[in-house]
Amino acid sequence: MKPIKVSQLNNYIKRILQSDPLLGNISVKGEISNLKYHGTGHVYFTLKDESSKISCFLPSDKVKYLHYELEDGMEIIVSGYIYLYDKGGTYSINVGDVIVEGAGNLTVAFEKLKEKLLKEGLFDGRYKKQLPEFPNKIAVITSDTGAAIKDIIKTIQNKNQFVDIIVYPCLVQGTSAAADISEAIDAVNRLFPDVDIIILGRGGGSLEELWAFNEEIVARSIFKSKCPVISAVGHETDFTISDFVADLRAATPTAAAEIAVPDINNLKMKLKNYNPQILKVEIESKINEYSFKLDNIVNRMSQILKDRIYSQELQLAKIRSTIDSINPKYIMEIGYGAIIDQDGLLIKSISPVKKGDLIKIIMADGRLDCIVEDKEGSGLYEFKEKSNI
Amino acid sequence: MSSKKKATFEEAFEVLEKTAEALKNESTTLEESLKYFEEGVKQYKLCNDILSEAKQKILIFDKNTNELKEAE
Repeated sequence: MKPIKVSQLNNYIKRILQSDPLLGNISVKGEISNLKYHGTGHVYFTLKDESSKISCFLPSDKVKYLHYELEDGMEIIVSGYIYLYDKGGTYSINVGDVIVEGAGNLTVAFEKLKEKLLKEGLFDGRYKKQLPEFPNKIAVITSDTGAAIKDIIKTIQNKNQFVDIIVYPCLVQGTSAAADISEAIDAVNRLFPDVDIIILGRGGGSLEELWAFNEEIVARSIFKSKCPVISAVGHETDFTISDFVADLRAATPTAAAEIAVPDINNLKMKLKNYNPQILKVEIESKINEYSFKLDNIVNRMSQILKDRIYSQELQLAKIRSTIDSINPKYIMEIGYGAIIDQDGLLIKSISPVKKGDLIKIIMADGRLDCIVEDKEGSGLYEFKEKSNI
Repeated sequence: MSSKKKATFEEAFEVLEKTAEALKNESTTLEESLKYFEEGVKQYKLCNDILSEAKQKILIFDKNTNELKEAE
């Protein structure tokens, strides 16, 4: 046999391997080991089972379609084709897609991303924004076909006829959906900064169908959004990563519409309470109160004054009668006279008077000059200086 | 446009509530009450006008033209 060169051998093997139809489209299961995320973006790992192994190459442009981070020890299924590196005499699997074995591939991915974002703090309550009570503009990011958008609009219109609605359509399932949703959120923030609330959602579906709302790129856009986001994905029992990052979760798109807008009739009723007619009543009652207080005071003052005047008058009358009662004029009018001696001094006792003295009696209407004829009595009466009448 | 509407309604309603509270308060003087009342009437009218406006717009963003179009 004529010997051939190494390169010729490898070339030959390459042609055989790569022209085999079976080897051009394979699905292989095994365990990851020697996983390496290269700086170029490509991913290299070894796929092995109990007794054998093979090298795998995952090109960088396929990596972004992975739903999860690969790890050593993971049981996976790769699909792709066999590639022969003829210069090195080696072959490997060029991987097109990776499926993670085990209890729900997507569930695993969900848990991983949830934990990662939780650790980063994207779900923290302190980042959650308050929804305005009286929104003027609401943006709805969802599919423009389908029931969700119709339900949302109808619900809003029933409750509230002044909120404006902007519909920003996007894909809500499929491989391009996550990027589309993320772009929509960013665009609404950029183009319509005066929007008060974003409702992000879609109707019910399987985990695969809702998957876009579990993607990291969507979560980051929601977190970045300056406008508050209500996440309304699927049914009551569906919880997506969007729900955790959003400022508020609504169980369904219709529920989101309910939460987002206030009921106009409710507002009108509340407003009725502040009707000026009612307010006027408050003012009137205040005025009445003051008026009443004022009257009260005036009455009391005048009453006090009257009382004082009256009591002064009483006092005056009392003093007057006291004075009157010691006014000799009245005494004289009832028959008493003042007896005075030669010197004009009042005689108050019989003691200094002797028989034959000249005394004068002053009466109410005149004077009597008299001579004392006789006197009788003990004469020991001491007339007090000060009268205590 | 809409932020002007928003500031007006929410603020107006708040002023209205404060007005009612002040009027009910015994320590508010008569003069203050009259001022509050006047302000309250203004805000009430504002709120009422906004609520009865009912000029709701529904627009759809067209990615092809980058414009908002009225929904049918």
